[in-house]
Amino acid sequence: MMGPAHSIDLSMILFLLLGAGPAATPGQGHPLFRARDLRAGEEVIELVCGGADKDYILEVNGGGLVVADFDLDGHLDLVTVNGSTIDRVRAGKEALPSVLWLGNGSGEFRRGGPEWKLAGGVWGMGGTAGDIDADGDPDLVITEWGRNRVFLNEGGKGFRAVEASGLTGDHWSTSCALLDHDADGKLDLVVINYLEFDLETAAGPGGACRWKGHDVMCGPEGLTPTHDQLFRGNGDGTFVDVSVKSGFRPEKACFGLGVMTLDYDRDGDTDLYVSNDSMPNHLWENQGDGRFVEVGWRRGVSHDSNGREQAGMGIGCADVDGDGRSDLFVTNFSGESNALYRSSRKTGFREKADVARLGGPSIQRLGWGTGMWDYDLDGFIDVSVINGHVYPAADLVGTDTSYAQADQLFLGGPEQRFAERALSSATAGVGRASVSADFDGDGDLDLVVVQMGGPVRFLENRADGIEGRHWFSLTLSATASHPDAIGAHVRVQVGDASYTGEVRTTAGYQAGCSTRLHFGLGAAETLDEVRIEWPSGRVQVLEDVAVNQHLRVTEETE
Amino acid sequence: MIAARILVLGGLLLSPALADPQGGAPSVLDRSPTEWSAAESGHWKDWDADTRPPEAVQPYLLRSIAAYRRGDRPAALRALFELLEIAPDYPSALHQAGILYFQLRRHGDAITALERYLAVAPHRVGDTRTLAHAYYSLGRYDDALAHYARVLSVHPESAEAHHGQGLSLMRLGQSTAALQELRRTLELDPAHASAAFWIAQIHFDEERLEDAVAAAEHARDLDPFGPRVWFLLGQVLFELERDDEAEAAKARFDELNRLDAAVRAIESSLVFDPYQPALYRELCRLHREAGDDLALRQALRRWSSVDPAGAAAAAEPASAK
Repeated sequence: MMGPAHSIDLSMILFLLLGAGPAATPGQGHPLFRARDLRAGEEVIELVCGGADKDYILEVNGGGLVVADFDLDGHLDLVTVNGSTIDRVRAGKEALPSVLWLGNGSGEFRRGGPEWKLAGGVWGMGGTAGDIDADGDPDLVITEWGRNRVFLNEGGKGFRAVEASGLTGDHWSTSCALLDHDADGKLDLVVINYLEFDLETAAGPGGACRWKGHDVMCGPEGLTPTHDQLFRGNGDGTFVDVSVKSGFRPEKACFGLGVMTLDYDRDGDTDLYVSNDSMPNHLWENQGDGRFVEVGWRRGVSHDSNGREQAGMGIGCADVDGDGRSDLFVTNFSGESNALYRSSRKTGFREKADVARLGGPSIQRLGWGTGMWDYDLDGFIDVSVINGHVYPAADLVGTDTSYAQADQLFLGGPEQRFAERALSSATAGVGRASVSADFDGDGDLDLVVVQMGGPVRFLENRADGIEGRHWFSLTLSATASHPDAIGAHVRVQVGDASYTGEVRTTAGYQAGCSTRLHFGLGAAETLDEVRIEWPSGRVQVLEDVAVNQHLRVTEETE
Repeated sequence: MIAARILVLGGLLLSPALADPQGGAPSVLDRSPTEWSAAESGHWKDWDADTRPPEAVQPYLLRSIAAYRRGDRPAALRALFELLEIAPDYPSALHQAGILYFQLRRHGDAITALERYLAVAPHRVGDTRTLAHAYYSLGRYDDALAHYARVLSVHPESAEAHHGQGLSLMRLGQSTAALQELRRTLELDPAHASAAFWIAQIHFDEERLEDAVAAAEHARDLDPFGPRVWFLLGQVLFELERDDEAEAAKARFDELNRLDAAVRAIESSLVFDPYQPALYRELCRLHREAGDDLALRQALRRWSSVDPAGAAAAAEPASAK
């Protein structure tokens, strides 16, 4: 949100003859998360995305994260997607290696062996995981500045790169997600693309562009955006570009950064929400026949309430108000407010970040990864926001922001109002992608966060230590649609309260999440009902379900 | 009283010798108001905005005003930095610096300057509406609300302060009180398009769609070239299933928004460096394309202050037309 068009009384200037301000109020209270560098034994896990000076826009997005149980041992693993440097690119070298880190279920990781090798690529960005070939294990997609890559999982024993995946176009891809958009039982892939970047012609060091009176690298304004792509899966690790055929092609290409799958209109198919940098965000409504229509403006999720395009980065999605419909949270640039698009009684949304107390505290921050989960297990959806500026010059005077920034946690409460609290014990950093999952198996959701110029951070959630906080999680296995059950809608009923979730593989910004659903329950001792709406349309109801357990549910056959 | 002081100073301002010889050198933008040294406590306790400034500070003030009139805010600010070195905490300079910083969108610096102004001249709270604007711009809505209330205690008929109060209340979720303040704004200034717009937005947010349409149409009549009202109008009309009208509103929004984005990009450059005739030329072209004659005349006037010949030449087609 831009500032209001307050008029200045110019006569006052004549009448009177004629540090940076304080940072936004920090969150109060004890941090919920304990931060540490992510390690594998003695090895500190770091990602590289260009140099410290950030002379080119290619160097600012950071790397990616993907969560799944790749080795099928019941514990969540983590892929860190690595970038490169300008010098490496100029020298014709491949990207620094992305790595699979195998989790042991207690928050510890070890480096995957050579069978899990992910070498290659030019400059990795993000990724996602899902059972692309439907053989019972999660496969991997990595997005790149360059050709995107597919790795098939060979029974939990290792990856095999797909040489001719059909992911055409050597674009700059950022986020991606798996879905079954045409309900053919095979996973499809949406890839979000940013802009055309040619190192040979790009404006480089020397600050050809200016921001707040300071020299900075150029972009995205003035550069050429790239169309996003939708690929229909063949079920074997190969894909076909159906972007145009499916209608997934706006009039003008945009600077795409984030993606979210959701069934916003609750008609049983998977819609898509795309955040665009400095351009209108898109909401792609699935018509039920594999075709999409863009309805972002009509549904009120394309701009802020001033009618201004924002610099959309990360996307969170959850049902904040318990009305059974998904709400959207979008992180934006400094000087703008993050946006909370709450579903309205019709099919539209209303931007409510300020009323929810999520707007004002975001204005001096530049947000990236975000998650909407019940982190403190009290029965209300919370919001995590990972912050960090794109310009090192943000530390110069007069910017009203800074390069390194504190991350934020907004704890949900009654009437959909949030209270800001320090996210973790970590010092301010230059954060980027993040992903939430219960890596240590204690029932609450931990966070992994990409940092520019530093180790990946592991934020251990300590909500499990809060008395009277219960949880429930589940993994779904569909039988009448693709087994990952992407798009399945779950409603958990506890007394008068209901909590909803939707199975997906994207964490919003350059990160792939686990398909496990997680619910905080507060003091509830038992679940009255768990209602599962499968992608096939079948409905399955479980009654009197115990809390504090991870449940695996297979779709009942009729 | 205000007019009298303008006349006194306006005469001085006409002297071309007062123009800042350094033009728009940007080095002052790398400095911070936290550099300013402080006066002894109570040094300016007898300062009165109604009296002529001390001789020693007048050249700097006049240089600052001259630069300001050219749209050269960095030069205006530089003169104030120099002034504050010889007259620490001189209240008028702090106030003017605060306004300049706000216009440069350096809201934190504006707050620093204006809070300091209030510290040395606490009786001048009525001059500090911009301080509330700056709080608001940084998302500090509680602080903004409190400060607008202070300003309104001095100037209860300030439409701008009521407007800011209304927006702050709206951001804090107090929509009923916000509507009252915005309606009061329109009573005091019936042409206040922004107040009309936000009234429409509140109605829309609260699902009073017919009220929202009426308020949005009022806002559109007050500011037909502002894209945001077309944006809102289109959204409300869609929800009312008046699709043809909504599509027309969206088309107008798209057109105006494209032009407005280009205007904003130019303005964000000119605010730091006004000596860019080519940008003024483009600015005028954009306003012409939008059909916004008022904005065109204002742009020509600003262009004329840095490039009279260029502005005059550009104005000719409009005059002939």
